[in-house]
Amino acid sequence: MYRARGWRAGGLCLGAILLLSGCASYSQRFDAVEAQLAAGNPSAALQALEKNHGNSRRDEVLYQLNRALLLRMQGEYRQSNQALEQAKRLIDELDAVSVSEQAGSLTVNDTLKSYIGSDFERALLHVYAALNYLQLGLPDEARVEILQLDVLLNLQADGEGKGYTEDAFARYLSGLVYEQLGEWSDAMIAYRRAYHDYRKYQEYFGVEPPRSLGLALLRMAEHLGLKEELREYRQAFAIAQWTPLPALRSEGEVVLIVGTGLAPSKREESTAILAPEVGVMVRVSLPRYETRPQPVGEVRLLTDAATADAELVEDIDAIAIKTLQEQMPAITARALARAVVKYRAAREAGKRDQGLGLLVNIAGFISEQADTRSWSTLPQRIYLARRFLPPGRHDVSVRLLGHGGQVLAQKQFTGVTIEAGQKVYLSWRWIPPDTRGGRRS
Amino acid sequence: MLSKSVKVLWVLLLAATVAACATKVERIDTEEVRDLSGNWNDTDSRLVSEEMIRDVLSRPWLNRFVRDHGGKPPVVIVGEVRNLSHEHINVNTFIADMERALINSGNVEVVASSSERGEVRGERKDQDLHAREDTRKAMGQEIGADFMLKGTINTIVDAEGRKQVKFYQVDLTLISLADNRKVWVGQKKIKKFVDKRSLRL
Repeated sequence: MYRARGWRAGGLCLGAILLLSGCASYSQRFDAVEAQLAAGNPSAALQALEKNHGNSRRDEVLYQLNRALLLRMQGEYRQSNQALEQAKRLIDELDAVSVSEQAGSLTVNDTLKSYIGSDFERALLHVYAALNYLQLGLPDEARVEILQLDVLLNLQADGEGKGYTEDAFARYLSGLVYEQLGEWSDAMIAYRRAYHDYRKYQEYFGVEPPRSLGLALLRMAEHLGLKEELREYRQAFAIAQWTPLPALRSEGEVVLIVGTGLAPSKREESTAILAPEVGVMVRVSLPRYETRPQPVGEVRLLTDAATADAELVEDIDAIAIKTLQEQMPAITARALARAVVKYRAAREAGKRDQGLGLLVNIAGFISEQADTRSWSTLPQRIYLARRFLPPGRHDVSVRLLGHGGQVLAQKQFTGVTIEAGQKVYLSWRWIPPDTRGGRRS
Repeated sequence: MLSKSVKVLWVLLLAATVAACATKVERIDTEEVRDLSGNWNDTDSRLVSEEMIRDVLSRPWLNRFVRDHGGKPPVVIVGEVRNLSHEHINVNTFIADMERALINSGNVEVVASSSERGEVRGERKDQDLHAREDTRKAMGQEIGADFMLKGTINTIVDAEGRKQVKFYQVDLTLISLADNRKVWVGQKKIKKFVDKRSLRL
């Protein structure tokens, strides 16, 4: 009687665990999407993503985020924003600590927790929403995103973590939006914060304050009559000459945003330990980032008249790795706690019945999985170039150069209409055909 | 010990699935206030438009205009209400509410806004070609507005942890098209305190 009940409980437990954790890890299931992206086929990638989606609510945020970027790659900015809005709503809903999910993550594995994105992913959500609106020609709606971003970044800055507390690129983009709407003092504040954050980026991620930000700061500081700051920025950026803001009103501006490659993907690293005296196997699985090769050396913006270099404004590789490093102590602690729970469960069961003990042990062993979920469709790096042009139609092209100066890829935007005092946003996402063989970190 | 923890886990999981799958629909009155996320909702839109209209129709500019123009009511055009807030607010419902109340009051005439005009003009052009002569409407007979109503929705959000104070301020201005005079300025403020739950099942 007792024995039968024990078996039933064990079977139930095993069934539950197999149900709850799919066999392949999230990042493995994502490989099909990635293959299509590397082949330069975002619409097939979207199909692959939809096919893999299943109906797990725990991964819904991630699904919407990936969907949004795949739609954006196809120029479907409106639909992309619908997906981002959905992700936002879900994050808001799932942000509360779930009792059942916490129990699951402490007894089964971390993938039982709903994915709500790490800090940088949540900031980039708003950045991409804003970019979509800007490309749709709706700067007021982009401004809404910028304001939401500001609330989010201020909350994040209050939290823990040392490396990534603020998003410099997000602040820089905020400045661009305010500048476009003619809100000079807000633009100045945003540019100033971006400069402050880029200096921190320099220290942690090796991304220097872009020169185009320096020029924007100089123009704005001069226009607002901030003499002290003007001197400071002139020195910091070593810029002697710039065109003052009023002189630029008769011109329009092209803002080019290029995303290259794919963000690092998380892989699982497992260690199995056998406790010989009781015959129980324990496994500890932890996530680890695997970055991809980074073939891009330079990004150039070519207009009819001149060539300008696009500058690196966000290194997602570096940010993602730093973020995981900071989360690692908590992830490891949970994994060890789970190992103890699983070990004790197997030992207790084994005392009553050896077969049951084995079953519980196997269940615990199989169910141990690292959480390898991350917003994998994000680019590896984001580059930005700004160029003022006289009103009229212009042909603009972008050229990606490898580390040796060879041309990797080129894209042409024909007949870009520039209006005086307006900004035109152009974007391009390039994914190298070979995304494999990166380094582990 | 094992079966107990397994049971607890099962009960939790079961409860989570059961709670998630039931859809419940209940009809509620359009006047009823129900705040879900703390974001701008229908109640805010209605409160603001009602208050604004009451205000704009009770101020001296209206009587003064009617007196100066021999009893003719002023013609108003609704311009842009800019959303400068933290949320993607649909300003159209709010503009529609204002227009409806202005027209129904009978004290003011409202002409089609710039976005609506295009279609009307297209139809007139079409009539010129296809409609019977006695029913044809001539071009160049539109009424020019005397005043333009425009405004902004602004917010200030103060957030700390799971708590938020949201302050909405809607400003509307009625500007005389003849001489840029502002004849009326209306303002409505709404303040909300949002405390997000910190636990879920």
